[in-house]
Amino acid sequence: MELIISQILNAVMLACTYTLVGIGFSLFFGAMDIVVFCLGDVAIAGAFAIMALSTVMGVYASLSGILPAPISGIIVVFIGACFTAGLVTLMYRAVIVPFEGKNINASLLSTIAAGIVIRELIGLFYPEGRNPHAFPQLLPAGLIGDNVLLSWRNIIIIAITFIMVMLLYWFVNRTKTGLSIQAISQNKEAAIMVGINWHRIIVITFLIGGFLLGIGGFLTASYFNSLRFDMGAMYGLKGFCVAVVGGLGSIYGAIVGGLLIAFVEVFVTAFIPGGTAYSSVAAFLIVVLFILFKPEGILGEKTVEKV
Amino acid sequence: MMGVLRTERVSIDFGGLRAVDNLDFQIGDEIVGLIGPNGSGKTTFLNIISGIYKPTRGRVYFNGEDITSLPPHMIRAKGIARTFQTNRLCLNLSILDNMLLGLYCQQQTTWWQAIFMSSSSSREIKLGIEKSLAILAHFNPALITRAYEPVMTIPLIDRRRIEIARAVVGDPRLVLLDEPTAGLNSEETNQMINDIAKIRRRSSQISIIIIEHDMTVISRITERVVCLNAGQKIAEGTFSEVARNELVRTAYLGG
Amino acid sequence: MGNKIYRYSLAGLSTLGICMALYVCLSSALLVALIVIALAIVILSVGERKNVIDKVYRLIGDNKALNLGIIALFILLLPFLVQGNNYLLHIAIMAGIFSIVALGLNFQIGGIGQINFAPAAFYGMGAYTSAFLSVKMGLSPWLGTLCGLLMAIVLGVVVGFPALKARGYYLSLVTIALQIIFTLMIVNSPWIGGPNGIPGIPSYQIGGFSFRTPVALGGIQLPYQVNFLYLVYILLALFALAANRLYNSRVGLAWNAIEQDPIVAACQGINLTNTQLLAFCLGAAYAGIAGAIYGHYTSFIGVENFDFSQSLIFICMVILGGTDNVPGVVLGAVLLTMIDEKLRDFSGYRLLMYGIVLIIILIIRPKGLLPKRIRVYQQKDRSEYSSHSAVVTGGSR
Repeated sequence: MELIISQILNAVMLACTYTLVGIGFSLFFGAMDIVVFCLGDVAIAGAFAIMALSTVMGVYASLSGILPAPISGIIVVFIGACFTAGLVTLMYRAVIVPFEGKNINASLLSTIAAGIVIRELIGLFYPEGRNPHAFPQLLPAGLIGDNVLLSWRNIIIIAITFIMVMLLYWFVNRTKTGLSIQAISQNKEAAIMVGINWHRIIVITFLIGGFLLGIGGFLTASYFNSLRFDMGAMYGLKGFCVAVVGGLGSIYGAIVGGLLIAFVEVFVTAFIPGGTAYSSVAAFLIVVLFILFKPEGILGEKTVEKV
Repeated sequence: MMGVLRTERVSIDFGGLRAVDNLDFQIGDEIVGLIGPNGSGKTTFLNIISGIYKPTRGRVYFNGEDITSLPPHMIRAKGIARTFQTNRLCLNLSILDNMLLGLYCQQQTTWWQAIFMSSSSSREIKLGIEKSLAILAHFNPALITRAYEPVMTIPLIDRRRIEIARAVVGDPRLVLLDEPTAGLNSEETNQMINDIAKIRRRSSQISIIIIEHDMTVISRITERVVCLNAGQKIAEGTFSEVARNELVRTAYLGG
Repeated sequence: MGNKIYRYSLAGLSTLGICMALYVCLSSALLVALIVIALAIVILSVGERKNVIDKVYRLIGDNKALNLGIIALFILLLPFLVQGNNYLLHIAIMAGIFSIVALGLNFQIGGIGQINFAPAAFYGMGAYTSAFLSVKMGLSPWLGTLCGLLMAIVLGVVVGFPALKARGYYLSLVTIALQIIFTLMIVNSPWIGGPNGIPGIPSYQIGGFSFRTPVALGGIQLPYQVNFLYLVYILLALFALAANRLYNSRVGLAWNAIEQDPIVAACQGINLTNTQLLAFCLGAAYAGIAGAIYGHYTSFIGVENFDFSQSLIFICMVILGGTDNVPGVVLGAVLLTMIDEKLRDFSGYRLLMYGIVLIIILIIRPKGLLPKRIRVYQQKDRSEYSSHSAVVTGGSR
């Protein structure tokens, strides 16, 4: 029983790390009908930025001198998330805008290539970039009470994900800009005709998505306690899988998809002998099955192909 | 008169919407016009005949054979060719390549013949080119000199001609034309009417179903008209009969 | 008459020029190679603007026999040109092997317009099948290669099947997933060496003559690579010929029609299922045989030769060379292989280079060095038809 509960908790944690990047994929796909393949690398770049701020550049240490530790932690993470927001907007300008309205294969390849470039630049220019790094612990360690299962770190990761999703929900459904994003994702031409500034909304979408990605990268690095320059490739791929399983374009789908993929991975690892090696295989197989037999995902809307 | 194509109580539902409703239709050696207001199910009906949509209920018979559940490529092989409402040529390919695509269903070369018996493959293509150029000359001789140009450099009226030529070149028994004059001016429309008449002049063994909003086209080339509204057939007969029909007037004027 | 001789020698000279440029790229340092390539790109773009390229194409097309002869002679003499330098010969062999894979991948990317992210899996399937059978089962390498080809085709069906249902992003995810599953399965299968790979793969033999023995040709002692060089380039010639014939046949046309508009293609009588699967299976066959040869040539294969980044490199080759243009694809593969090998000294920058090169090509020259061309059927009476706009212009949709 203990084992199962700890595995469930494990899966929920993993789902949290997947969900934010999955939401990123859904958000951009909804707004632009485009899949930005370098999101995982952008998120990991954000984690590297946070790590740089806390270790190499010593921002965290100097902030801690004047402010209480949690607040300086929040500031550092916030700066890191702003960095990814900027980075993803840069990606939009550099590798998406040139291919707007052309064959999707071009933007598909260019975003994959951009992911490689980000990854390799980190590997080349971050000090000791190609070695794994221990991620600085900005989240408090220690257990809650005597319970072995609940540590502060786990609770905070789940709480941050929850808060982010709630904020996004509020933003998308309650603010004018958020409603414009929805309008664009449903019908771009109509949205432009009623006077929505399409370009501005797209940039805002990228900023918000990028911010979420930064938080996602931070949570992932905190969860695994380590950071590698090439983590982003797999992380981004899993995020895309999560978005597809949940329903590409649906924000809540990313949550459901994240849970499904994470549960499959964790349970294959835990309960199948020698399963560790095959947890990713199982996750990818599920995605392939989804694409073949339920391409609209769990929560996505079925579209009839227009002839 | 032997029926070429016959549908029996064909219906199709999209979600809750019934786009075509219990439609009985038949065509012999003739040109039939299919008219009706926007959204009345005309194009959907053509899509059912050509196999792109499977009807929810009902059957489609072609030359007495049930083709309801056949995929589009087999329906084309049986002898039903079509054009599309928005001109859908392969823009990157040359005029000639588009025409050869129309002959695809008549050619036999398989991939291994293409690799290992290239002479028979190129002989087949050569025959295809001759036939394609002959048909192009029939429609607009000027197109022959441009046969190796990509279609995207060709003006709209000629693109429509090429699309019709592509449908006709493979000697189909039935041709479905979806709004061949949409986007053309009146001069071009006249030319298009002549072009369609040319198809029948070339071979009376070609039946045509034509969807049109332009009633001059319908009145000048069709022998029979069927009017649809909300997926149902509301009138049938010669153009003047249908034009006088009260239901048709209401449907068009939105009464 | 004089004009004819003039055109004849001009055609020969241009082919010779291309061969020499490739030779300079092969034998000189990275910087020189890059300058040659940059020059070639400038000449290509200027030539296109002035419609010279079309004339060159026609010139080369009209004197096919001469030009093929020059290329054959060039490859035949290559071992002597590089004075038996086995490293340069190795690069040339790898260029040939990768060209075969790229030609196969082109059936999917250039033909039906679907980017397959798993060509390295096809390539690896051929290599692992053949290596496993010949090392562990003692099967003849020739038979092993045949089995590798067949297993690659099986994998081609597995990857191609989703392509029937999914397009665009979904298909890319499926093929990426299958590629990663392939790599993970190899790493986790100790019976095929797992992460350690398969060492000691035997070489091909003909009547007791092992391909791994050096040969003396014309009084010069040449390394064993020569055997493989000729083997690989004979195969490449055959495969390129087959690819060219397919392109000019109704099959290639059907692939292009599917790329442009699957529904229209189906309404012209094209069987979408068979035709698309064919593109994947033929591509897999090309990659499978190339992989098998690679294994028997290097005598060692490891999973890192068949992972996702290798797939991306294959895709880069096709995109750089020019989709659906057989000489273009081969050119792209040869150029990238040479640059790649010259970057060995800067191995840390290798993937970064591929990423940047891909983005730059996609922005500056999305159709590759030699763009796809309009099919020209009748060589003889082609002059009747104007073909001044033979290059496809504009977007692909």
